[in-house]
This record gives sequence, C-alpha cells and structure tokens, in this order.
Amino acid sequence: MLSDTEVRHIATLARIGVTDAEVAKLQSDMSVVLDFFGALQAADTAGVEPVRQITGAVDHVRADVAVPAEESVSQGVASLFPAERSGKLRVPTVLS
Amino acid sequence: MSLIRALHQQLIDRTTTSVALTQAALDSMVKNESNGAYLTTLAESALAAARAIDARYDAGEDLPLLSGIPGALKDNMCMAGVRTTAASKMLDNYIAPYNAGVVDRLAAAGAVIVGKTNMDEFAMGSSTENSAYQKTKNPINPEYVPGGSSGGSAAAVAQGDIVWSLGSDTGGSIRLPAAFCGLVGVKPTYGRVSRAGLIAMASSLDQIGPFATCVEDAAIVLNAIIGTDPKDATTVDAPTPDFTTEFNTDLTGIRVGVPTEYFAEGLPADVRAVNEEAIEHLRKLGATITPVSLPNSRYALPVYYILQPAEVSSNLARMDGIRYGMSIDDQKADRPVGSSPLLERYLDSRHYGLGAEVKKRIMLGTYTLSSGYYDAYYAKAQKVRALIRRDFERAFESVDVIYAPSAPDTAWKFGEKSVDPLAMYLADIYTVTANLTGIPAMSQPIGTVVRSGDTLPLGGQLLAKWWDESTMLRVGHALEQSLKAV
Repeated sequence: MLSDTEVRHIATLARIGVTDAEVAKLQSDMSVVLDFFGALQAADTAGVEPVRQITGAVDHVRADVAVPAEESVSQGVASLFPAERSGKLRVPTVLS
Repeated sequence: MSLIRALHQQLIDRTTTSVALTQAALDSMVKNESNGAYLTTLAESALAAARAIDARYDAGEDLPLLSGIPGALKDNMCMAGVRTTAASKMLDNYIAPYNAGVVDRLAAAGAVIVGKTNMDEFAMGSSTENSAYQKTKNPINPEYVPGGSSGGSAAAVAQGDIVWSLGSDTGGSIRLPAAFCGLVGVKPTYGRVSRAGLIAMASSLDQIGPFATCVEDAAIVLNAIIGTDPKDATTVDAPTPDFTTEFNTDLTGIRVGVPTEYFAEGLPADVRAVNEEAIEHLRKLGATITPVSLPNSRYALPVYYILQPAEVSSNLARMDGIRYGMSIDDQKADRPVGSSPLLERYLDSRHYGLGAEVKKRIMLGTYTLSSGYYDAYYAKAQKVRALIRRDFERAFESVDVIYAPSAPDTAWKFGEKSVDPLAMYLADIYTVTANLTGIPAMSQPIGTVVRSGDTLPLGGQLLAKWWDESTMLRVGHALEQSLKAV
C-alpha cells in the first residue's frame, strides 16, 4: 500500500492540493488500482516493440512561423485569462 | 426509412420545417428536464440556424441529409461563444473561443445544435455519475444510470428530444451508454474524425462518434463528420465512402469472428443467451460464424487503466488556474516545503476545480510515469498493447468483423458501483480493446434482460478492421433488420 508520504509526494508532483481525508482515501484507492496493474507482469513482452502510434501515422510538421489568429479567437482566449494586463496573461511570481 | 431520411424528406416536401423540428426538440428538452441530460440549452442559436436552413429548403436547394435536423453535442466539444465545461467546475466559466472540427463539419452539413450534454467530468467514468453538475437518469428507467461517460448524449436521444447526438469514446464512452439506453453508438477508427476542439482526455485513445436510434442514422451522422483536419495531426487521409450505400440484408460471404475468451467467463447466463441469439441472426443472414482467439484481451483493462490515466495526467496539466479555468489561491491547504505563489495557485486551483475521480486518475498517471516506475507500468503497457493489436491483426486475417458483447451486464442503479474503486472500471472490459487497437466498433440493441424486476436493454458489439466502418455498419444494419423482423 502506498504510504501517506508517497501520496503527498505524488500529489505535489501532480500539482494537486490534498486534504488529510483525501490522502487517506487515495492511499487505499490508488493501491487497489496499482495492484490490479500487477496482472501485466504475466504477459511475455520479450522483444516486443511498444506501440508509439496505433494507426502508423507519422508526424505532421508545419513551418515554424506564427500564424495570426482571428481577432475573435485571440480576444476569446484573452478573455479566459484568470488575470491579465493589457491583453497579456499575468502570472504569479515564480521566484520569491 | 430511417428517422433522419424521413425527416429530411418532410423538410424537402415542406410538410415540416426545421424551425418546427427545433422547437419540438426544445419543448421536449423542457418536458424531460428532470432527467438531467443537458448542461446547456441553445434555443436562440438553434432557432436562428433552423430559420436559415428553412430559407434554403424554401429556395429548393439540394441539401445534405442532416440539414435542419436538430441534435446535441457532448459538453467536451467546443462551440465558439458557447460555455463548454466538460462537466468540470474547473471549466465552469470557459467560453470556447473557436469551433471544434466536428462542429464546423456539422455546420457545413446544415445540422442544428440544440444543446450541450452532461457527461462524466473530463469523460472519466462509465455512468455519468462523476459530472460535477448533475446526475443524468436513464430514460429507460430513471433509477438506473445511462452509462458513461457520454451519458447525456445517450439520454437526449433515448428520451426522444432529438434523433442524433455526438459523444466521445476513449474506452467505451459511446458504446456503453448506447448499450444501456437501447441505442446505436459508433466509435470510428482512430484518426477518422477530427478531435480538434475536443477537450482531450487520453489522446492516443479518444475518438468522436454518433448516437442514433438506428444504424442507418448513425451512418448518416458519421458521413457528415469524418475526414482529415490539419488541426488534428492524427487524422488520416483514408477513403471516405458513403457508409449507407452498401446496406443490404444478405450477409453471404461475410465472416464473423466470435472471440472464445469473451464468452468464457464473467458473462451472466441470460446476457450470454441474448448475445448468442444475435449471433444466430447473423448466421441466418448468410454470414459464416468462426471462433477466433484474442488471448491478450485478458490484459486489456490493466493496459487501458495504465495508459489512459498517464495520458490524462499529461493532458490535464493545462488545467492549472493560470492559463484559464478556475483560479484560486486561498492559502488554506498545507504547503509543501519551498512552495512559491505560482505553485500555491496550481495546488489550490486543482484542489477545488477537479473532482475526486479526476484527481485520482491524474495521480495514478503521475505515479506510473514517474522516474523509476515508467518501465514497469507505462512502457510495459505499451508493449502489451502491441500484443493485443497483434491478436486482432491475426483474427482479421480470417474474419471480416468480430462480434462481442458490449458490456458484461445491463445498466446499474445509481451508487451501486461507486464504492469499490475497480467495480466501474470492469464495465469497460469488452470496449477498451477497440480503443487500444484503434479499430472501429459499434454497439447496437440486441434484446433485453430483467434485473430487479426491471426490463433493461443489452448491447451487442461489432468490431471491424481499421478503416472498414462500411462492413461493420452493413453487418450492423442487417442484424438490426433481422432482429426487428422477429
């Protein structure tokens, strides 16, 4: 079973704030699911190439140039910013 | 004649109008409001679209089959200017700035969109009980779940508001609700339909597809939405035939494979009997029935529940309270050592914005992708996925389609599978293989069984080779006609 410390560490890696009650429930629920994954150990995958893309499609690469969005789209995106200053996305201080 | 064809004919004859059909749908939505199928109703824009289409019918224009016929979209597909929540509080105020690829295609086909439907939050669930907003009741019997995650789209059609809708299917999220609500639901080949503007859940598995009351209508909707899109690099330039042209009820020469493993255990006797009857219908229609073996399908669920949360953890990283979405920093939660204002905003926004199942899957994915565990989980799962694909490639050397149950049992009552963390995942046992391999699959009604004194529908599944929706739909249509004739 995952420990309290492990669950809190995963939560921080996942950028999710958790309460003590959530940690306790996640400990048991995540452990049940992780145990379920153990069934895969029985599968013989020696020499098997992992799937990268299921239909065999290859990367489409476009020219590395900025394509201006329509005004309505760029304004629509900007209006979704939780915080903005003169049309730019404002973010909290990264270095304190 | 299918419902869509009949309505289209009435629109051409002008014995009805798109405005009348749209108003009837909107009235029906109000009447059925207590079922909780919709998160957003689009009365004004739908009626405006209907009026525009009516003018074109009036002018005698030759319009596509779907023109003027109302339908609905799962609330994870973006429509410009319309609130799109994916049933999450995180996106409570999200107004889509652009249209999803399928929305543009539907608009080009003249379809009218009357609403955005309820779903499991970010499509994570098999019952629609994980919506952050409301429960959706199964119109067949309101004590039961409609299936998920596209439960609202299924209920909307099953309760008769509309004759078609779109859902998305990552591990069975179209086929399971179709089975539970007595509808046809299609998951096309991976790469058939653009996912641009679909709020991503697990990108190597997600695919958009239709719900309808019959196979032909599902095929008509599919015709309207398939094709490549430069905004979705996974779409493939495959031939796009009219899926309805090959319909006939003679299946002579069609080889149907029945996976022995899928009928071996875990299937209740009455469910097995209804499925075997459906297979018997296929035989009587002229198809050859052959047992096939898909031995690695036993690993499909663990593979799916490793890969999907891994992709979820990556795709949902953007739901961070910075770029958009719920943004909170209330200083209440415990702080990890060395946290910054930025990290604190991430932690709080995701704490309040995301539901329990979503958090659990993000964390499972974070764990399996983390240093030291990647090879044991993610890399192993991608290798077993290759084995599962190989099983299907081999099976399709000797058969044209595969028949399987859609689910191990019927819909369940609310709350029945919410305690044990694995119980609901097991409902996806017959559906996840099509997503893992990318092949097309559909569920259609095959009969009913009785649970707790209630008669509930069962779905049967047809799976076909990559890009061969034509044969799958043709066999499904023949089976439907044969079952109807009984």
